[in-house]
Amino acid sequence: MIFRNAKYFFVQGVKGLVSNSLMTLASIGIVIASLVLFGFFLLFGMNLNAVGEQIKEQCEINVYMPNEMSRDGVREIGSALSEIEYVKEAQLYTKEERLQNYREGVYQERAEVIDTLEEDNPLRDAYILVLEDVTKASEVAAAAAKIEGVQEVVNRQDLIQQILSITNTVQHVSVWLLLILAFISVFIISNTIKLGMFSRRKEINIMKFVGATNWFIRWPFIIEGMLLGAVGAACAFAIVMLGYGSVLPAIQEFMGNIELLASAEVINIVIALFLIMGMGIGMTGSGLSIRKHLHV
Amino acid sequence: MIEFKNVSKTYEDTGVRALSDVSFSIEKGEFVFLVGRSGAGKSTLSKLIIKEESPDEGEIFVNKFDLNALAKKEIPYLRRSVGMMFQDFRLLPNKTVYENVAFAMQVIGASRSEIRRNVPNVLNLVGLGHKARMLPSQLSGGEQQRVSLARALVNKPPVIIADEPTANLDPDTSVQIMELLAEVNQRGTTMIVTTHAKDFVDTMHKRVLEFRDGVLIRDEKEGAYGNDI
Ligand SMILES: Nc1ncnc2c1ncn2[C@@H]1O[C@H](COP(=O)(O)OP(=O)(O)OP(=O)(O)O)[C@@H](O)[C@H]1O
Ligand SMILES: [Mg+2]
Repeated sequence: MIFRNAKYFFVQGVKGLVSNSLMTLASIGIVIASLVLFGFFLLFGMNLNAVGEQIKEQCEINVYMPNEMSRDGVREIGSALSEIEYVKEAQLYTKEERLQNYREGVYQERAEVIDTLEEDNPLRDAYILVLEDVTKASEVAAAAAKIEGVQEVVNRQDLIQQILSITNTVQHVSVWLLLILAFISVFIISNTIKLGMFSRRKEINIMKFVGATNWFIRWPFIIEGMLLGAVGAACAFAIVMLGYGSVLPAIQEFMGNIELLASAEVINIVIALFLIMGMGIGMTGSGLSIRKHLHV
Repeated sequence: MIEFKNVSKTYEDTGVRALSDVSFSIEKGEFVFLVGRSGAGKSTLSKLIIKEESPDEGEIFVNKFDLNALAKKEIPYLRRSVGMMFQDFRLLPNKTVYENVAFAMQVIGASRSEIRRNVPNVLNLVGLGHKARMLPSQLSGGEQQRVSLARALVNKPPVIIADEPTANLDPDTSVQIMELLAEVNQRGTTMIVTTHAKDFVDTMHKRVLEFRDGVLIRDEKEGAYGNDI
């Protein structure tokens, strides 16, 4: 029955959309707005996650000695640092190397700034601790801080914690946002479908009298809702992916060696989620209307 | 074929007792007039037959269906076995004559070839083959009523109920419609016709069920309209 009538249901569904164009546009618009916003949070969250993973992998602890400390004193501290449990290696990163790094990196185009510092290098010697076990970072950092002569210990683990907590917040916000937006979309779609039912009430009435089954009457409206959702999802998908593709290079440049997710890496999940959500919202909207207004 | 056993119906919202302890039975192939004053319960009886309303008491059997035992899901199948004609035609204004009739087949899932075969046949039967492409608004009242008959007929139901089929028509057109109903009945379809048209009832000598305030007060073979309506 469903297959034999599939074309009929589809044609009726499309007719419903076209004949009620203002509400149709409103419905598709709200689905687009919801999914674009959701997509933004989704991609933001996914990237934060990826960034967090990468930082975790390159987890290192930086230990700074006072600027005026002699190189011998520094090396003594270095051997003490390599004694700490879970430290695989303590690499010396001298203030000269660090200045050179600045010259070649961030200050490339303003070498004169670096030149003025050459005389009296304000930077500090540092050790980079490579760990055997990244989960022990805070213990190692605490132990390093206790060594006499160590001025400062910078533990990137804190950064990871921060990123994780931002990721968490973003996830919470996006779930709530999603729920609220889905709710509004469902409401608007169900109203659109309701208007469609109202304008076709005569037809529906006659269908009942000549013995159409309930599902026969319902299907066109369900399809109408699904189409609303799917069209909205497709538009939102185009907007989100185009937007992502255009801002990604700029942000990537800013992030340096931490790699963000390429469009190709996110496209599948965005497609899948948008379609599922769009059609889910559409079907829920029409389902509600059918329950409430289509007494067969 | 259609049987009412001690059926009563009170509309809850108004408290009107539209039918009171009504019992009768109609055999296959009969032609029956339902008469009575306005508000006597005639339309209520039709609504009970297609389960648009349900009785408070009593039993109703229609074709092979026991309406008290009928699941909601089964109602469409009951309705496929009863063709309905309405006083106000209830045609879809934006569909052609052909489409209006085809629609009735479409919604019960008929195949396209069946539709192409049956629709022209019934349209010819009611004499509208040549107006298949017109819209209802381009037809006279009698022609619209014939479309509604064609729609009731097209799925070949064993029973047709016509609720005041001539109410909006001039006398000549009314004659045409009544003759058509009689002809369809001749071909074996059970016909139940609600009417206020005294002349037809008196001249056609069919079975008459008369209602007054929801009570069946007369069931007469080859009856007349009656003088007290
Ligand atoms: N849906 C309804 N809700 C409440 N009361 C109703 C409803 N339909 C009909 N009635 C009442 O039931 C009684 C019988 O109505 P019904 O329509 O069956 O009369 P009828 O014999 O068909 O009259 P007419 O010849 O005017 O068509 C009337 O008093 C009417 O007011
Ligand atoms: Mg009536």
